[in-house]
Amino acid sequence: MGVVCVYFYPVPEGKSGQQVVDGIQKQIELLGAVKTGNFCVDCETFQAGSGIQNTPQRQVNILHSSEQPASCFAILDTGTCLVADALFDGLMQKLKHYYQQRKGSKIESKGQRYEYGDFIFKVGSVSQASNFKGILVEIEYCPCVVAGDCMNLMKEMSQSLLGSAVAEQQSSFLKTKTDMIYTPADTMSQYLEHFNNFKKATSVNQAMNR
Amino acid sequence: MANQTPNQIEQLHKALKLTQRLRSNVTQVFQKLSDGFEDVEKKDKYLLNDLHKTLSSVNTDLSDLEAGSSTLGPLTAASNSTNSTLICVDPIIDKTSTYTQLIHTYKWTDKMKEQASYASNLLKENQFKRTPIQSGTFTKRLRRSQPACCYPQSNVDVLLNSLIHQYRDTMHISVVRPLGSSAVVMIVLGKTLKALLVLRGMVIEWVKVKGYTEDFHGEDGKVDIWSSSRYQVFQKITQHVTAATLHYYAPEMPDIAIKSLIIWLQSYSTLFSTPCQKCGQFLQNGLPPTWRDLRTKKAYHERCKLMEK
Amino acid sequence: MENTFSVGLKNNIAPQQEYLLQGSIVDLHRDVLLHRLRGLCDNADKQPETFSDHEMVFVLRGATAQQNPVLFRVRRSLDPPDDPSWHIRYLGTSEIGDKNRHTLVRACFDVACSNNVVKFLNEMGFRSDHEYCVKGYFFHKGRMKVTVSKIYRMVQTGTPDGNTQEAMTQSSLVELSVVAPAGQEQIADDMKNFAEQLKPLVQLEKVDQKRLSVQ
Repeated sequence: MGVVCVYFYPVPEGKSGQQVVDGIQKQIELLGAVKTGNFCVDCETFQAGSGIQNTPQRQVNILHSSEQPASCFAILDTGTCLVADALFDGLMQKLKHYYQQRKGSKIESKGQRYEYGDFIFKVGSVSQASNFKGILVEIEYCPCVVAGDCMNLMKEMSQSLLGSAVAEQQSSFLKTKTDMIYTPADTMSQYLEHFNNFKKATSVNQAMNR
Repeated sequence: MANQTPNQIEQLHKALKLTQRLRSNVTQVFQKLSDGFEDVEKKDKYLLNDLHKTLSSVNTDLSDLEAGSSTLGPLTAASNSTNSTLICVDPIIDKTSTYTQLIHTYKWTDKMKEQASYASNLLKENQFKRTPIQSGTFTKRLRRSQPACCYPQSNVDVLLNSLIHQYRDTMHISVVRPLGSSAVVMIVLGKTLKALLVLRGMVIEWVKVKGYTEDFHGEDGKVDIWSSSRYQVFQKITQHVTAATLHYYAPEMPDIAIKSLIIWLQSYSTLFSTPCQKCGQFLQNGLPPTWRDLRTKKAYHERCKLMEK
Repeated sequence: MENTFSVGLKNNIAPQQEYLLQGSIVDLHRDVLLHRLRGLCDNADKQPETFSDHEMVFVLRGATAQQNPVLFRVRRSLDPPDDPSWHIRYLGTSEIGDKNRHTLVRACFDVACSNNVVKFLNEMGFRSDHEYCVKGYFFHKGRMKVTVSKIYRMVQTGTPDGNTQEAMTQSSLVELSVVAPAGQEQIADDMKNFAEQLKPLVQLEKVDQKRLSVQ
């Protein structure tokens, strides 16, 4: 497991999401990457009710990734990320009087997984309640463990695959973690950041349509 | 005995044959004399003639042998008085092949010595010097100095401890000896890579490079020097470092060889963050610049390095 | 994608129920019991395994009386002090059951987690309730787990080192437990049989914890 960058890939007007995904996959296959199955990252949001003593109303996001099938990532809106056994879902059910799952909050990114040398590429279509939301492309460079070391290397790779416009975006989260050892929890935090952006975009759109 | 020239050996053969003939002639003389002489009156002339003839042939054989042996000179092997001559004297020699094998080995060694001296002469003419040895002193110094593989453990420890101390800011070096005197040196370079060196005496015998997240300990907790990294980039670097150990190999000053390899290895701390000095890119076939120049320590892709030269 | 937990629930392989018998033994006779357990349990040829844990109990309380508080027990091993492994344990209310069931049964989730769990729970609204240290011996026979341990009071909160602990009692707690998926009632019989073999050294029983807390 190495350093991961998750990129938001915009869908240009007049094209369907599937067309864009196919285009990216073709680009990846041209590079010489090999298909190695599917992947899925999902996220559920739990909202605190009003009834907790002396605590502001928090939000807990529970994420799962097919790359770490036995683990569960619980990320608070404060940014604290707890990595636990998948059984943690059971604990959340025990807290149902305090933290309620938001209806229709489940959002996931699903798609093809590719391997190329020491790289792993994942092209995911994001959907919430079976509505297509957008495209997230994940690039992982496995041998490196410090994000700061391989940022430029990653940029070069993403430029050649996704174009320089996409490669320019760098997660604000990654910028703060350049010296530390990268962990899967950091990947999950990046996904959460993107998922929240998708949700925000939806609510803005809805507000504009009204 | 082994350093007889073929000519001398031939002489030896000849002398042996002469001795045999001399013996048979002498036996003949005594045979005849012991048979006794019948009818001496009638045949005395003939008998005397016969005896004279055999005695004279004994005489010529003897003088031949004396002449031959003077050319041979004293046996050198006997004067060596090493244990090997004892094997020669051993009557079981016919049953075992030890002695012949020994001679064979001696011959090989001689031949090798000869060729090595030719090679050293040739190398002296070459400008490219791996070792700072002055010409002419080659053979002498080789004999005096200890072979690099036979340095005592304490010397190796002194060297390794000084390295651990010297480079503690950039790399973490640890030493284990799982099987007696051979040291296994494990180096953790920043958060970039881990390297393992197996030393025999002060000679680097084996190199493996792995990722920071990988481990050199097998599932049973023992040191595993064989398994390769699961990442292509470190498999490639393992090859390069092995090549570098050959480049830095210096039998005269084995400590310098280890030190310079470690200094060179340090340049890999920027493995993922330095672009290739030739093409300016980070990636080539999905790999970062895995080669570091042996003198300048600049980063190159494997293919760019070939084009540079 | 279905997550691992729901798959585990569906196939009933997620361990979530604890079968428990408890008893106690005076310290004076503890070594006899340890000797006996060593003979009865697996790995008789090895020295019994020791453990030393620090347990912090966190509670999530509602503002109103209707909401039942939820307790999470956060435990970490003190044995390799530089690299503790943390886990959260949730215990449900224990059912005594009728005479046909030989053991106590309670819901139990053991979830290994990263070391920032205390910070995480605090931010979620949990508050530290109490803490203590447990030290003792650990045996297993098949999937049955036997612990013989002593509970220590922490004189100073948060820093569990040897000087700040005092033993609660002059005896050791003996627990026989199995954590298994729901509905595997035959385990209780195995445990009952095992407990019989420890008599009369120690009497392992189902202890009604509700009655304890009332007193």
